[in-house]
Amino acid sequence: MSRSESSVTLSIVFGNWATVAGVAILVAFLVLTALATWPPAYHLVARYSPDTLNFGSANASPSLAHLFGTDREGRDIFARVVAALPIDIAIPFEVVGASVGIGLLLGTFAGYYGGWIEELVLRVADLFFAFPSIVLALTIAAILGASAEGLRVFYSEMALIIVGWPFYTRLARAQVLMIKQMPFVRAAEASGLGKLRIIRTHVIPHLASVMVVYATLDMGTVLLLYSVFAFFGLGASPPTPELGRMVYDGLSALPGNWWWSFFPGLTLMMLALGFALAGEGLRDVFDPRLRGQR
Amino acid sequence: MGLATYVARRVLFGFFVIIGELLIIFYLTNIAAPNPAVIWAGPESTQAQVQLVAQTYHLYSPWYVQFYYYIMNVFTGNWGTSPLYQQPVLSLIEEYLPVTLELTLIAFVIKIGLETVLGVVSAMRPNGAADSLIKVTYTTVRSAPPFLVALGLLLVFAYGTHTFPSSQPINPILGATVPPFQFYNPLAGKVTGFWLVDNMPILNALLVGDWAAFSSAVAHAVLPVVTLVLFGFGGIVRLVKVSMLEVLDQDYIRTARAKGLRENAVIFKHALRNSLLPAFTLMGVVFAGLVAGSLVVETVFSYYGLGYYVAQSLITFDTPSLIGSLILITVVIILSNLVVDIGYGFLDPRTRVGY
Repeated sequence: MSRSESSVTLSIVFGNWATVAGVAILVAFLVLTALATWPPAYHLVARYSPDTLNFGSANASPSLAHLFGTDREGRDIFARVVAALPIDIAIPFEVVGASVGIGLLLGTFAGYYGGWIEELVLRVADLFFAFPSIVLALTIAAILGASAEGLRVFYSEMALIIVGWPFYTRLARAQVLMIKQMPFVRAAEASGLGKLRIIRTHVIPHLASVMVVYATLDMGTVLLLYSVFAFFGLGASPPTPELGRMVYDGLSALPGNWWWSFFPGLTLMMLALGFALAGEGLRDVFDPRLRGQR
Repeated sequence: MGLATYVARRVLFGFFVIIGELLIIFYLTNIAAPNPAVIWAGPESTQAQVQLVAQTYHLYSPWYVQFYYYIMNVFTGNWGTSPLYQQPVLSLIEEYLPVTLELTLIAFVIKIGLETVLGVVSAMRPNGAADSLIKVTYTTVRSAPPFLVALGLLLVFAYGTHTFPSSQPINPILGATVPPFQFYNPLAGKVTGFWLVDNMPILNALLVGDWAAFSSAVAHAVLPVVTLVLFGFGGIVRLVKVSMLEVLDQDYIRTARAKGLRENAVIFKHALRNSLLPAFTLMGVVFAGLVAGSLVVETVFSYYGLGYYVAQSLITFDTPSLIGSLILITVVIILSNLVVDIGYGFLDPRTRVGY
């Protein structure tokens, strides 16, 4: 099978272009969020406050005055989308960070020590892989959040971590099994270093790149999953804006006011796309074997 | 080990999975609320109702006694009553499950077929125009939250061109859209007498021979099915492409080409079968994803199936319904995984060593 020179070049350009686009999207969102959270700079981003009701301009379609239109209470949807960004951007980092942390710890110990620790960790992880994880997480978040409105975001995050850690545990263990056989680890053992010290200074740094790649790829997934939680009312309680919840609320105004649901949904998609493209770029850098296999 | 032993072992593991799931939920509810009676009775319950729940579930006993009764209730079919619907959870699930099962199975077949074809096309000229286009498409589609895809389809094809209906599993004139369904029933809804079949809108209409109902049910299913197909799109495309490229590198493919077979015959007769094997292992995961996706899809399209029921239970914090549906979905997922694994053994005898 012949591949023309130009198509190979094209694919490399596309690969780079995609990564650049992903990083650009993420940086743009971060700047937007930073400006919006800093009161003196807020008016640079949005003209209205996210919570100001204005029934005179209710259900206004997108225009220069209201970039994304307004909702049923006349609140500016662009302002609300911007105000929702801090939560929706922070949550993937928190959830994936905690899942990676737990997975790294359990997986490394399981892989390095072996024996009954490994057996136990793997069997529990197997159990978790058999769960319908999204439905389980939603159920946990709803049961815990039922009577605690203020804690719903926290409980949703916890539920996502509960179903998130087994993947990283398996990943870390599989990597450790490989690293354990490498000459530099053998050398460290021969020189009499303690097991904990070897894990800390030789094994974990070697794991980091793989974990970072998968974590970045996972960010977009977690963002979308959490938006489903918010969609069902398991996110921050009103009037705090939540992208997923805005989509749900907007559905009741269809077919007239479509922008109420559409723009928050589109924002989520752009963010998820940013994470996905950046993650795939990272994977190409760290793991050349997977290059072109996307 | 024979097939029967293998199945028995898997079923036993399934019990452990359900018990593990219940243990997590039981433990967390006890941490979040030391007296879960209030939660179980529902947010708007009276003092007397809370007392009754506390007694029914032995909430004054130590936790392991509570957990024993908790599990026993689940396995004896006592899944409680939904405070929202004022009906036993089990009978509600019986009504709603078949609708979702039909929807997800249709979406499953279409998804697997479409993604496999796209994967093969990608592998034929890696990094060619078609491959790049497919890659860009699924990267974008994957990043869209399910409700955005549903919304887009709704705006264009339901409210825009009026090609497809916007909600419900069937035209309300032709059959009940809320439980008890007993769809389009000249014979009082009991065509086969088997609840799983009688509550599937499309299949039931087909068996009765009611063409108006059938075409209505199909039209109502189009947009939800398309949304489900696009949910998490691309996983199988990638896997089929990678394994196809690996297979195309092997000696027997070179032999096939060397003896002068046409490229189509090489790919579809020789390479495709072997390259589908890895994708087959993903099927359980794909099906589980579709069931999860049905929560959002059925909510947006008001398609009254299990997903809609679970979503309503989430929104109204209907705990008995949530736990009941979770157990049922777990059973469905375990069974589908079992079917996939046994099927894999038939497709690839090398893996039969496991059982």
